[in-house]
Amino acid sequence: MAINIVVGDAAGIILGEIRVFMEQIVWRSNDVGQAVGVMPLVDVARYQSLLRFGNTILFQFDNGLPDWGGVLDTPRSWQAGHFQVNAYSGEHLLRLRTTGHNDVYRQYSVGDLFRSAIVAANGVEFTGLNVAVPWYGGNVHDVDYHYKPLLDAAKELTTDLSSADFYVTAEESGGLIRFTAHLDARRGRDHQGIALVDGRNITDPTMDEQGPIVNHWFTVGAGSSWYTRYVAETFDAVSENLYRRRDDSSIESRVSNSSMLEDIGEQKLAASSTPATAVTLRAIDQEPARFADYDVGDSLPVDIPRYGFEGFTTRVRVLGREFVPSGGTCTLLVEEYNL
Amino acid sequence: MKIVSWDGHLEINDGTNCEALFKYSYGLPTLEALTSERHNAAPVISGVKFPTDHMLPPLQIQVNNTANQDTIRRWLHQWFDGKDGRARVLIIADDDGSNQRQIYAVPLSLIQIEGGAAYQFVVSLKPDGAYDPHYRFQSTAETGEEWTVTASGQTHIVANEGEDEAYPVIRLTPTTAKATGYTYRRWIPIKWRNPVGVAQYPVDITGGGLNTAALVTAGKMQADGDDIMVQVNGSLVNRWLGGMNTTATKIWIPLSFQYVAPVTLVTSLGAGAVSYVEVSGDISGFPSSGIFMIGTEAIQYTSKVDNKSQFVGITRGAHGTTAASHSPGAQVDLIQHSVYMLYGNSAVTYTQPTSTPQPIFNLASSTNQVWVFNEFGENAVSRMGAWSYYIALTQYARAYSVGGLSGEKGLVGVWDYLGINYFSMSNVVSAADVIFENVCGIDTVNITAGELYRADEVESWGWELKHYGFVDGVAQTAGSTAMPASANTLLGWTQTINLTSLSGLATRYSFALRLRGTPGSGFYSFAGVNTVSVTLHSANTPGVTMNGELSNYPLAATVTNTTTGDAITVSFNMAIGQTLEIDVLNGTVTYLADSSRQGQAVRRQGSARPFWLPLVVGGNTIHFSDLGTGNVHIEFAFRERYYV
Repeated sequence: MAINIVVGDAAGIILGEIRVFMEQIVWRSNDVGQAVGVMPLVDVARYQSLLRFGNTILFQFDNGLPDWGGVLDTPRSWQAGHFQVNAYSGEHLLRLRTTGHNDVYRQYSVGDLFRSAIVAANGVEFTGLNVAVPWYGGNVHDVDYHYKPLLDAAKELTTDLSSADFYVTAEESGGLIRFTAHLDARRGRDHQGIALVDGRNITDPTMDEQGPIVNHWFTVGAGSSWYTRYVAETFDAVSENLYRRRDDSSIESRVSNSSMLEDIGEQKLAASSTPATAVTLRAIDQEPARFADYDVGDSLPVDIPRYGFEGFTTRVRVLGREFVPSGGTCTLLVEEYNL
Repeated sequence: MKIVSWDGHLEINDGTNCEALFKYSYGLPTLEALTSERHNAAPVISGVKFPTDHMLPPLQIQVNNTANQDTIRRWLHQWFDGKDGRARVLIIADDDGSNQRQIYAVPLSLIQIEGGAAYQFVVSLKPDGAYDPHYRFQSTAETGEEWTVTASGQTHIVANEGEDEAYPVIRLTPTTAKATGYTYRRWIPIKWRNPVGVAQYPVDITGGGLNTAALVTAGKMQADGDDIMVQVNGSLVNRWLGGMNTTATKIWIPLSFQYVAPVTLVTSLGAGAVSYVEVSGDISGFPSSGIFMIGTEAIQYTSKVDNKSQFVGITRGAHGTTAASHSPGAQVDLIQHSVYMLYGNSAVTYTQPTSTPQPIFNLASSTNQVWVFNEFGENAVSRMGAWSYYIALTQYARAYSVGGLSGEKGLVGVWDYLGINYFSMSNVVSAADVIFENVCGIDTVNITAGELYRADEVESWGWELKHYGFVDGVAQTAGSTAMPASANTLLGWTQTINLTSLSGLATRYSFALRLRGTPGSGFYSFAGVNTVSVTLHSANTPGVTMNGELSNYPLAATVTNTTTGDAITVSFNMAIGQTLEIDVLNGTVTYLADSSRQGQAVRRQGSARPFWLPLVVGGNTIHFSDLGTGNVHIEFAFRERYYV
């Protein structure tokens, strides 16, 4: 297994390649992944310009894993004989910048908000991100931004306001490491012919059925009194029958739009009305699903007959992947998924 | 037992150059018990784990060719240099040279024995579990057992003469037609041409209408369409029919797509077999294996090399298409789903699953380019293609869909009419919008039946009914509708709104009725539609081609090893004369006609077990059942496994 590690400056202009012993490289869904490596304390001065905080970095693999691109950043720890290098995936570029203030968006879809917020930030100074044409679907929303970190805004768009996914891809092109931000209705593909099978290409699974289960949400909007304040009530009758009624409320004081409140309620309900089955497992690059065959966001069948009351033979979606080069394995975080 | 070769090098034990032997006998791997502790009771063993430190016995090599010992030493260093981590094959045999068997191992060390009387080395070999799950030796020659099933329920004995259970590759090849199930199929390549991906988008897989009336007349299809099924990537999916038993039946299914930009051929491509196809352009977005189209030819690939822009493992003329020559620069389009339409099953009935609600538009009169709406949505149900509405101030404006009007406008039903209704306005600027969006883009919105109404007070306070197209999320005015000339009268409304003149492709359309003023209570005005045709941007809508009719073999077999009780089901629609290969050791299923992976086709029956259908030592009675089966040629190929 080989990893080519290409380093670029903050603008992405490629400076050269380095050899780092990588301990872990992490891809995450709708969040920032991290890569950690160590370098020996030998001739370190020559690496100073390469390893400047803010420089860009791109990992290219020969085992089918997709390119991983990101930004070098703190912390950097120096220890006897070596020092540790940390990099954060392209989504980190969103964490480094904020929106302006009084950025008022009316009737914007989540994809439009995502694109507009990044374009506005690029207008101040280039974030390092180009924006792919986003998903413009879904309900429209009224949003005001005031110095909100772009990463927080992206998370809010893809958790509270929709079930869309955001992510950043990196590529080497024309002597540059380029980053592109995406917001899709759903990231990934649904695979049929491949599978994760306990004892064959996955091992050491751990499975947690998690809560809390909330199947009746009251989402409360802005207003000066309870007579004018809009309250969106969303519930899942099936879940209430199965697990008894479980209420919770959410105060959304910045939201006055009724459809937006209902969206938020629906999102909360979808995320909480049934117990979430989160599974972590260690995958190896073997059939019937090799590393090249699936990526974060994809769904594929999994077969863990030993787990669950009736075995865990279902479809899961990959939410995160941690590649450990020393073992040649990937730790996967997956959750049960219905097509 | 004797050493035969290492990584193909017979010199290791040819007696002339070297002699090799294991220093001591081969034992079994030391297993680790997985235990579960209990209160007041001994732990329960829930399983075992294979060790990570298991090694083959030390391999001792004596150099006989002392005249060339430097050469031999160099050979040994090269043969046992394990720096690339590659497992190599070690072949052993009985003392008389018979019964050759192999194991794959990575060389970890080569050490010269100090003080030995001769020039000797010892090699440490670590066996690789990727080749055998239990570190067994496997026979170098495959055992093949062939059998032709002519009727359901037949059995055949497969003998495993090894020392441990064997994991066969099972190849199923139907050779004559089956008496039951779906007789016909058509492959339907669908190109997603829009530069934005989408989830659960409704696609008419007929590409404009299939003449099912002719198929019904020919006795190939049920008149009610119950035997029309759609298979996507090997699995049956929900489908909805529009205009069944007509000359233009539509079949709608939901599909998810990512956008993968087309690439182009680098060099000309003849119609014959090739080992790879090289293209110009970025193929990192293509899946690791899949299908692409060049012209009308489908090409299946099993892997790719991104930095060479090459597709590898090529099957030409896949899915019933014809291999053809292609010129440099020819467009190469990814086909993201292998979609088959199945029909010709007189016995089947179809129950529409409720798990996915059907699209909201008119299924019979709509196409992939034009969606025709007679209803616009459904309360609390997410329907594909549904319209929506936006109300800034709920107490002053509402869409008809939220309950409708009783006196002013007789509604057929909720959501049969969608519009904006104002009542009891106060001194505010009120706003409401009716919205339709489509990721492929909207060219025109043709309101063929709608209604307008204004109260006379409105004249004083301004009527503004505007139509908008949203380009990259930004609204542009696409037209307007004049205030009705007559007040207090319901007026019919037809209008075509052209969004192609906007500065870019609109993916959202809305109309908004704005009123201003302080009219009295009971005031109302509205604008609503109840039949609309939306023409989508044809360059971006799914490109669908329904290919010609193919014969189908609906394999739906249960294969049981009655000696062990283990069974699997095999469900796959395939061509007669082609082979489905089931690899029990690796858990893979491959359709050899195009090397596509079809893991969904095999399901384990009965209790959980690590391998689908192992063969125990001795005779294994295999039972095949498939109602109405045609002749099916079955091959069991396996390597016998030995402890040493």
